[in-house]
Amino acid sequence: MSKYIIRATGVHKHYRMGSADLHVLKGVGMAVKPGEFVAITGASGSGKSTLLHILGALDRPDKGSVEFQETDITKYSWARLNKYRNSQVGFVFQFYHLLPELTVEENIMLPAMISSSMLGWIKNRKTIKARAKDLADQLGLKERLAHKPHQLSGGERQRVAIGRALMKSPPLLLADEPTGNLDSATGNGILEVLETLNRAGQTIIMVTHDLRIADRAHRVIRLADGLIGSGQ
Amino acid sequence: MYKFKLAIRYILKRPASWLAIAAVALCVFMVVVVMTVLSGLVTEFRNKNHSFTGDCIVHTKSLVGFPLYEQFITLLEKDTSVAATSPVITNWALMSLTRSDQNMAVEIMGIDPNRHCNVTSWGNSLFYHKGNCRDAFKPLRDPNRPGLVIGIERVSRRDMFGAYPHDPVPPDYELAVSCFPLTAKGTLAKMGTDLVNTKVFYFSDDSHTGLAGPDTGNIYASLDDVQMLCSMNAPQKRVSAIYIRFKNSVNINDATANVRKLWNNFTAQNSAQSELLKNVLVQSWKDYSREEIAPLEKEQVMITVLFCMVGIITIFIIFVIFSMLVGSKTKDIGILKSFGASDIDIAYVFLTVSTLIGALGSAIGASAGIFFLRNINRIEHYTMERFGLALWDRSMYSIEAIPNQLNALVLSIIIASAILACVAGALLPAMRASNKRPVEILQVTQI
Repeated sequence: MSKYIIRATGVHKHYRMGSADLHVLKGVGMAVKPGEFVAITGASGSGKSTLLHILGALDRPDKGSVEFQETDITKYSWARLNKYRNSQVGFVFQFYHLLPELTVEENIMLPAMISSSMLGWIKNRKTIKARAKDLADQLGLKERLAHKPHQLSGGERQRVAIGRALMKSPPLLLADEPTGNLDSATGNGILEVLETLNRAGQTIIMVTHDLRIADRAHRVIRLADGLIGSGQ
Repeated sequence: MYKFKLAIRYILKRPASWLAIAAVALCVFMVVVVMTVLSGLVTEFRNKNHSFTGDCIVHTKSLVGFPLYEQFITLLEKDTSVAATSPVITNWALMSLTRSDQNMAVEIMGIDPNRHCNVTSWGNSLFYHKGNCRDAFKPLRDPNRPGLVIGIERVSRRDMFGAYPHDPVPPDYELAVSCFPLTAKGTLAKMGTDLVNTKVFYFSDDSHTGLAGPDTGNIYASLDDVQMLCSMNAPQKRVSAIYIRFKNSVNINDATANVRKLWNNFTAQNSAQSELLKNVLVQSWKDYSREEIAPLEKEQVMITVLFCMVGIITIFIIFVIFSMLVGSKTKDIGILKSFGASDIDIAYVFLTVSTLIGALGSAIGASAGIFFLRNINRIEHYTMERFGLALWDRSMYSIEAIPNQLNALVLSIIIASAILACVAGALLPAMRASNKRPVEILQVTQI
C-alpha cells in the first residue's frame, strides 16, 4: 500500500481575469495519507477551491504534479481522467449540485449509471439500486428515495450529495465547503456524517474558510497567497 | 442508461422541448398534407393522361395522317409485348346544332370504340354507355343513327360540388360536323362551293376524361365517319395515330423502343409507297404528354424546394431552442462531467433529446396529417356547404376530389428528414455543451 493516497508537488495555477494574470497557486505541495481527514483553509481567493479541483482532476495545473496512489494524474488522458473522477474520487459541493430532473435514488446512483453501459446497467441494476438504498439508509434518506431535490431541505440535499460521492466507494472524498450553505445545526450534522465516514476508513479532504469547522479534521492545511503556510 | 433517462426528463420537464416538438409537428403536418395533395394531383394528372393515350403512340403531327396503318398494326399484333392497338384520327372540325347558325371549332377524334376501349380507359369516361363502350356511337334513342360523343364541358356545367348533372335520358341533339379534307400533300382536297365535308350526327353520349383539353374541346365519332369527313379514306386509308397498350409485365420504355425499331424497319420497307411515313413519331405516353405534365411536375419540384426551406427553418428553430436548453442545463453538464461523463456522453444526451423531439414531433405531425388527409374532402365539403368556402372553383377545374392517397415512401422521407433536421439543429449546441469544462461551470465565484 502506498504511503500517500494523494500528493501534490510544486503546483502552479494561473487565471486570466480580463487583462490581469492571477497567479492563484504558486508552487503548492501537500500530501494526504489513507484514512486521513484533512481540512484546507484560507481566506477567500487564497486558492483552496482551485487546489481541490486540481486534486479531483476537474482542472489541470499549469505546472507541478499530482500523484494519486503514486501515479501522476496530470499525465492522464481525458478518458482516464473521466474514469478517475468517476471511481477514484467523490465530490461534495457547497451548493449540492444535484440534478433536479432525477430523484434522490437516481442522483445517488449517478456515478454508477455514468460508468455503466446499457447492458451493464441491465445486468447490475439490482446491485446498484441496493447500494444506493444502503447509502440512503445510512444517511437517513430512506424515506426520501423517490423525492426530487426541490422537495428536500438543504441538509438532506447535502446528504444526497454525500451519498452520490460515495456510490462507487472512491478511496478519496473531496468536499468543497460542504457546510457553507447550511445553518449551524444542519452543518454540524453533515460534519458528523463526514466524521463517521472517516472513522470507517474514508479519506477526506475538505475545503473550508471556517476555522471552527476545520478544527474537526485531523490536520489543517492553511493556504495563504497561493502558498501553504510554513510548518505544514 | 442515464443519458436516455435524462433526455426523457429534459423533454418532459422543459417547456422549450414541447415548443420544439410543436414546431416539428407543425412542419411535418404541413409538408405531409401539401406534398400528398400536390403529388396526388400530379399522379392523378399523369394517370389520366396515361389512360387517355395508352402506353405508346405512333403518330404524326401532320393533319393528313399516314397510310398503311393496318399493315403495321398486323405487324404490331404479332409482337409479344403488345396487348392491343387502336387506330385514331385527330383533326379539326366545325360543329353546329342543325337548327342554329352558330358553330364552334372542335377537335374531332375518330376511333373504333371496340378497339379503342381495349387500349385506353375512354369507355369509362362515358355516362350513358358506361360498360358498353362498343355501342358508344349508337344513340340510345335510335341506335341506327350515327352517334357523336361530346366532351362533357360542351354539353354540361359542373354544379357547386363539382358534379355534372345528367338527365336520365340523353338529349336528342342533331349536330352537323364539317371537316376540311386535305390531300396527302396537305392541299385542300376540294375546291369551289363544296369545300367541306359535312355529316349530321346525333348526340350519343358525353365524355368526361378529367383532362381539361379533351373535355372542353373534343368530340368523338366512329373512325369510318371521320375518315370520310377528312377524306382520309381514299385512295389509301390514313390515320393520325395508332394507340398501343402493352402487356402488364412489359417495361413501357423498352417496349416503346421495340415499337420504334419495328416502325423504322416498316418505313424502310414501305417508304416508296408513301412519303407520309417519314413524318411519324413513336413515343411513350410520357413523352407524348410531356407538354401537359411538365409544368405540373415543375411546380412540384418548386414546392419541394420551398419545403426544403421549411426544413432549414426547422433546423434554425431547433438550434435556438437547443441553445436555450444547453444554456439552462450548464450546471447539469458540470455535474455530469465531475462524476466522469465524457464529452461524447454529454453530446449524446442532447442529441438523444433532439432525436426524441424529432421522432415525437414527426409522429404527432404525421398522425395529424394522416387524419386531416383522410377527412380533407369531408372537411372541404362541410366548409363549402356551411360557409360557401371552397378550395377551388369546381365550375372551372376538373378535379373531383382532393387527392389524399398517402405515399409511404414520401411519408418516410419526411419523417427521416424531420429527425435529421432536429439532429442537425442540435449538433452545434450539443458540441458546445460537450466542450464545457466542469471547473468553469461549478467554480461559482471563489477561487
